[in-house]
Amino acid sequence: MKESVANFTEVWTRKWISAHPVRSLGIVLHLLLRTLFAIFWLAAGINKVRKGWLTEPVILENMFLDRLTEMPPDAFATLFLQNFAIPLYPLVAWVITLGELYSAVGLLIGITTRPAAGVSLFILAGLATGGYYDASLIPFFLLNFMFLAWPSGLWLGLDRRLAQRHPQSRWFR
Amino acid sequence: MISTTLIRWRLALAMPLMAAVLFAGRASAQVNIDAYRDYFLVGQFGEVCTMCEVTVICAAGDTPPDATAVPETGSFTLYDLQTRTFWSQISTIWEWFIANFSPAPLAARGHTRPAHVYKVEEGRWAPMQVVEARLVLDPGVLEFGAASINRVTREWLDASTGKHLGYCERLPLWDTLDVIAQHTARGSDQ
Repeated sequence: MKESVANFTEVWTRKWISAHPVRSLGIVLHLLLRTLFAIFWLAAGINKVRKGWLTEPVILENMFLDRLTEMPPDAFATLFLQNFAIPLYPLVAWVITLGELYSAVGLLIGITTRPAAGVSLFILAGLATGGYYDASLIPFFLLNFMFLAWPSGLWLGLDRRLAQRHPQSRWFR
Repeated sequence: MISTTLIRWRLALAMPLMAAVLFAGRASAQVNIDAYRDYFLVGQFGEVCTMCEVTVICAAGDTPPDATAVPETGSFTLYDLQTRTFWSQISTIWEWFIANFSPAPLAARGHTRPAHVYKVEEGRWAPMQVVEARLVLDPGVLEFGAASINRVTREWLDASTGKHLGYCERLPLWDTLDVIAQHTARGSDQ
């Protein structure tokens, strides 16, 4: 298993790039998108901390109540907000904020990259379920599936080193 | 002794991290909604959201019209602002990024979305018109083709001459949509 992890270092050798130019381009593009996505989450997470989501999560309850006035009464999102998100708004605020920050760090430096992408997907699904969906979520979902599908932390990130140290762990693969 | 590869590897990791820290430092520099908080149709969470629909009544006079419900009689115009279009929604990703660096151009440019316009003359509903509405924060104005609304004073204006037409108010969404649906159905039956 160590050998297979070590193989991922080859993607940065001139020989491998010459032999696989299209795949190399795909890897660079993947890593670029991962970085941008992580920066997006990081900015969003920091914004939430600054706005007091962790210390005064009532701001989120107000957001949900505001959203309720804009949604059809019989929509699933209305039920979701009324029965889950609003009663548990402090928990939701913490999960979203910390989830965004964890996803951001994970994707940015490639540590537990795939679990970070999984958490990111969970947050996106929650946003969509709560009625905060629009077409801009589509690229985010697609990118998330991409980050889940490929072991990009082994191409570039701390996952490669950690996977070598802990070959049995699935967190770094 | 640290190998060259290791240094490169660490640099590669450190660069995006540094970029992110710099970028995140500007995260609070989004469109300052406090400056526009009292503007017409600006809620406590900012501009009309991408998937939100808003209904507005405008009527002649020197005072804002009653906004509890759609009047059964009289003359007025209803603006039913629709959700943003698909590509307009996609563009919000880019807008969000831009807003982190400089919110001013976004506030000045605003955004567009379709709006359904219902003109009612003495209780008689004219067929619906579709216009492209533009929602701008700087200066605060809502443009509906031939007419516009001043977002500070809520004054209803002729877009070309700036002449005072009346005042506008926001209506309760779902009740208003019910009334519109009733009149639209009635219109199609005739």
